[in-house]
Amino acid sequence: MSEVSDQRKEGNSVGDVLPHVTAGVSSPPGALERPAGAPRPLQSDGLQPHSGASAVAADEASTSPSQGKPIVVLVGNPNVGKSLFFNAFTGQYVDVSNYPGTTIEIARGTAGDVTVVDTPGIYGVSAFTAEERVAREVIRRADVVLNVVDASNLERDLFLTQQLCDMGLPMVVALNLMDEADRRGVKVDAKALVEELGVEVISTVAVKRAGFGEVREALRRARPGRPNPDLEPRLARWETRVARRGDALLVLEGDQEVAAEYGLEPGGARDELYRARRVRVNRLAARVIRQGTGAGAFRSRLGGVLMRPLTGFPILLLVLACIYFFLGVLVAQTLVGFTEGTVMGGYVEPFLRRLVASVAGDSGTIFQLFAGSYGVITLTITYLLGLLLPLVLGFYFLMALLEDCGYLPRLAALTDRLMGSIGLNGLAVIPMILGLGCVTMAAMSTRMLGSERERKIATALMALTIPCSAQLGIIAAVLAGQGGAWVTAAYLAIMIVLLGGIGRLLDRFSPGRASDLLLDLPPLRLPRPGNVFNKTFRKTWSFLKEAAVYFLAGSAVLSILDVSGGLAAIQRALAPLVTGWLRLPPESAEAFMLGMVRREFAAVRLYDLALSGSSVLVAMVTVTLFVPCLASVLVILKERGRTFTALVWVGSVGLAFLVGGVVAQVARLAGW
Amino acid sequence: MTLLEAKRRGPLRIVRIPDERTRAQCTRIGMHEGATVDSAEVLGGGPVLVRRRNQEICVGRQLAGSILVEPLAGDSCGPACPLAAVPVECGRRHRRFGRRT
Repeated sequence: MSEVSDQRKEGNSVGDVLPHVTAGVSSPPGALERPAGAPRPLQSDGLQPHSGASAVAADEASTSPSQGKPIVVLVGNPNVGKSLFFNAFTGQYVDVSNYPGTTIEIARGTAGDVTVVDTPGIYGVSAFTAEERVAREVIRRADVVLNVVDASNLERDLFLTQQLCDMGLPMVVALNLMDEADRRGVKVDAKALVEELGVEVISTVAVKRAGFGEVREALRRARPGRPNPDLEPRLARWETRVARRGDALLVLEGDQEVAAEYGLEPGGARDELYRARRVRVNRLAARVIRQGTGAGAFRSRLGGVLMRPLTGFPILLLVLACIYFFLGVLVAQTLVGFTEGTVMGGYVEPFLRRLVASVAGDSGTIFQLFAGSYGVITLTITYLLGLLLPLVLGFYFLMALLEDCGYLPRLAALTDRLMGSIGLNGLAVIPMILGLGCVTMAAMSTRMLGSERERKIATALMALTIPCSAQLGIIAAVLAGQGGAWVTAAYLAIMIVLLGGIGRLLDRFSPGRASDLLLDLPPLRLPRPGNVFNKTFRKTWSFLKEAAVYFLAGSAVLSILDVSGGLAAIQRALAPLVTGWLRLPPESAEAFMLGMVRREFAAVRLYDLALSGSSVLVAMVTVTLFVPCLASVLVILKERGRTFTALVWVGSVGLAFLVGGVVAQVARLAGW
Repeated sequence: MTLLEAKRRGPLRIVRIPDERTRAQCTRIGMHEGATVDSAEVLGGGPVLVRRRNQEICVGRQLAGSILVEPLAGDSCGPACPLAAVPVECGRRHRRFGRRT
C-alpha cells in the first residue's frame, strides 16, 4: 500500500497535533490526511500578526532554509490579492498591482513561528513559464498552503484549488474579493464549498483586511482537501517511488523536471487529468455559485474601448502625452526648477560650501574634493535630492497609477499584433513598460513570457533601447527644456525605428517564433490611493538608497580625477570620439564614463552641460542607447547568462556611439 | 468555424483546441473544450477578446485561428444562461429569448 494510504490510517492531520482546535471542518469522506514527515504543522501561536517580520525578497527562497519553521505558502491565480495577505501577516511590504506578473520572485517573511512565502500568481501547479517553475518549487515543499481565490471568478480559480487538494497539501481557502463578487452579483455558498473541498473556507476582503484573523486561526487547522476520486488508483503507482504525494501527481501529469529528479519517465496523463479536474470543478461551481446581475458592464465596455485599435491607440497617445506633460513639463521644469535652482542652488549648496570652507578652507584640494565643481557632498546632494528625487517620485507615481488600474494588460492586447512583428507577443509590453521604471526589475519580469526566445528578445530590447525612470525623467526635462518639439519628435522617431529594427533583426535571427497570447485580463479597477502612495514612496526610497552609493562613489572618482588632472587626460583621449564623431563638448566624456555605473549619472552630466540644437538630440539618443547600469547587468547575467550579457553590453556601447555619431554627422551635413 | 472567424458574435461553444499545451492552459482558466463563451470579438486586426461570465480572455490571432468553435445562437443567452455551468437567478436577460429561469 502507498505511503499516503498508510498515513491516512494514522489520522495524522495538522489539526490533530494542535493543542486547542476549535470547531473547524470535519474531515469529509475521501479527504486526505497529512502524510507524516512531509508537511510540518503550525504551532498554536503561529502566524501572529507582524511578529518579527523580516521578509527578504529572494528567488532563492525556494531552496533556502527556513530555520526549521513550518512554511505557509500563499498560492493563487494572478491578481487575487496574495501579496496583501503577505503584507498583513509579515508586516513586510511587497508590491501589489493589477497586472499578471506583479510578483516575479518569491518573497519570504516570518510571522511568529512560521515562515510565510508569497508566490507569483499561477493558474495551475506546472511548468509552462519560468514564474510557474518558481512557484511550483515552493509549493512542493509547503507545510501549509493558503489558497487565495477570487470569489467573482471562482470557476476559474477552483482549478488550482482542486489541484492543490489532489496534491494532498494541508490547506485553507481564502475566498477573497467578496466585495467585488457582490458588486458583480455573484453569490457564493461557502458552506457548500467547504463540503465539496473538505477544507476550511474563509470569506475575506483583503484590501480592508477583513477576515484575516479567521484565516490566521484556520491555518492552524489546515488539512488536506478532498482529491478527485478517480485519481487515487492512478496515483498509487507513483506514490511509492517519490517523496511526496504532490510530486507523484506532477510526475503523472507529465512534469519532466520533477520526474527527472526521481529518475522517472514522466507520465502522459495531463490532458486526461486536467479534463477530469475541470469537469469536477464545473460541477462544484454549479453547486456553489449563483450568478445574478450586477455592475461591471461599464468597465467591460471601457476595457473594449482601450483594446480596440481605432480607439485604443488614440487613448495610448493621450496617455503618453499626459505622461510627457506631467513629467517633462510640470515636474522636470517647474518642480525641478524650484528644487534644484531655488532650494539647492540658492540655499543648500552655498550652505554646504561655507560649511566645508569653515573646516578645510575654501581653496585647497580638500575643498575641491568635497565642495568643488565635482564635490562629493555638493554634487551628490544636488543631483539626488534637487534633480532626481522629484523626477523619480513623479515617474513612480504615474507607474503606480498605470499598474493599479489594469491598463497594462489591455495595452498588451492592443499591441499584440505590433509586438508580433518583433518576435514577441503583446504580453511583452508589460516588462518593457516596467523597464521604463527600472530595467533591473523588468529584466526579471520577463519570466512571465512564454519562451526563452521571447525573454531574450525582450531583455535585449530593454537593455538597448529603453531608458529607466531617472534617465527618462532627465531625458524628458532636456527634450522639453533644451530641445523643443522637433527634437522631441526626432528623438521619439529614432527610438521607435531602432526598437522596431533591432526587434525585427532579433526575431529573424532567433530560431522559433513568438508564442501565442493567452491572457486572462484582470478587471479594470480604480487605483487605491493608499497603495499608490505607498508604492510610490517605497520605490522612490529604494531608488535613492541604491543610487546614493553610486553617486557618492561616482562624485568621488570625478572629483579625484578633476583634482589630479586625470579628467582632462580622459577628455583628450576620448576627444576624437566625443568631439569629432559625436560633436559633443569634451566634458561629455566623463558622462559616458560614469554612465557605465549608473545610466542616469550620464544623463545628469549631459543635462548639466546645457546643450543646444543637434547636440541635444545626439546626446539623448547616445545616452539612451548606452550600456545598462551595473545592477541591470548583474541581473541580466543571472537571468540570461554570460554570453548574452556580454553581447548586450558590447552591442549597447557600439550601437550608442554608432547611432549617436550617425545622427551628429547627418545633422552636420544638414547644417544643423 | 474557428474562434477568429467568429468575429463579433456569441455565444459559442469551444469544440476543439488542437495543441495539447494550449489545451492544458485553456482548461486551467476555464476555456476548455466544451465550455460556452458569451462572446468573441476580434480586436481590429489583432487578437480575439473572449468574454465568459466575469472573465475576459485575450487570445492571440494565430491561436484563435486554430481553436474550433460552434455558434449556440438561440440556445444560450450569455452569462445568465441556463445552459451555462453556473446557474443564475435573474431572468432579465432570458426574457430576450423568451425564457426565464
